[in-house]
Amino acid sequence: MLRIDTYLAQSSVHGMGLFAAKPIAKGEVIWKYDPLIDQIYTKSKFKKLIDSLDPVVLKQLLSATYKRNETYFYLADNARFINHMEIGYNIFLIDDYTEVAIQDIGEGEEILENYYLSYDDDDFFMLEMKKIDIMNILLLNCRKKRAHAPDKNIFKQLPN
Amino acid sequence: MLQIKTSLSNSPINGIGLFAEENVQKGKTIWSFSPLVDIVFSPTEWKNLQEKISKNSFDQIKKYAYKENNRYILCVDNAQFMNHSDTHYNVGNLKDGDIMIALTDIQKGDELICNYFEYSDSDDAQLKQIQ
Repeated sequence: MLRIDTYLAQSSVHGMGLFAAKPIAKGEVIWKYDPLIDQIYTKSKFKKLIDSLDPVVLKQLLSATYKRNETYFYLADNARFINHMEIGYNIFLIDDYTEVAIQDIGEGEEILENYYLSYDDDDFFMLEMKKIDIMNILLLNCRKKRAHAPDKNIFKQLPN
Repeated sequence: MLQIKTSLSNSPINGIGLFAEENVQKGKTIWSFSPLVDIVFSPTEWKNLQEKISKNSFDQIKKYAYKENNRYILCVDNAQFMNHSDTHYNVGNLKDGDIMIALTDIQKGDELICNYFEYSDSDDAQLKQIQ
């Protein structure tokens, strides 16, 4: 859950982005996991979810989900609009549950993180960056599952 | 959870709005309640949330939740951004609010708009703000 005052606006990086509504000091906690709002899925729960959703809904869910240390996080607040920037990012996850500003951030500046430093290799975004179509992999798997025995190894089949 | 392709953009109605990214036929399901994804709070749980989290966070969450049949529902997808009009709306409710459908043919690029008066409880925060 976001700990700071923010707003959404068109981003120069991608779609909607998250912007600081007030100046943020270096070291300040930007986001902290809160079980009251943020959803965490284990692999098995996430697999159950994937099997129950149709492709349009699933794609939407995946694009707002990230995967870190084998756990899927789905954020219910505006934190899910934080965009990726490899050079010039200004926040960083110091552990699985806490994200801090790594420099002073001015009012009106977009809040950006480097996904590469924080998320697993088979995170949805990572696969997109590698131009791997995760939907094909998932759909293929669903079809297989219907044709044969339930497949419990969907995630093992994702490329590393 | 939304069942069609959508995008977010600045809305002529209010702030950021939700727009159709595909043509949608009248009667098609736009949104349906998903117990696996959407979060429901009882009034007690909602009060607990308000007490436990910061005001900044609660104010943000509050904007995205609605109150219906004495429970607070927090959509956790772009449905959060569906704006209200009580005169020009193209999305309506079925089954006690668990399903939302297209009331007219909707073109790609049209804003998706519902009428909060149709389903929200009379003490819903958004409704109070409108009134």
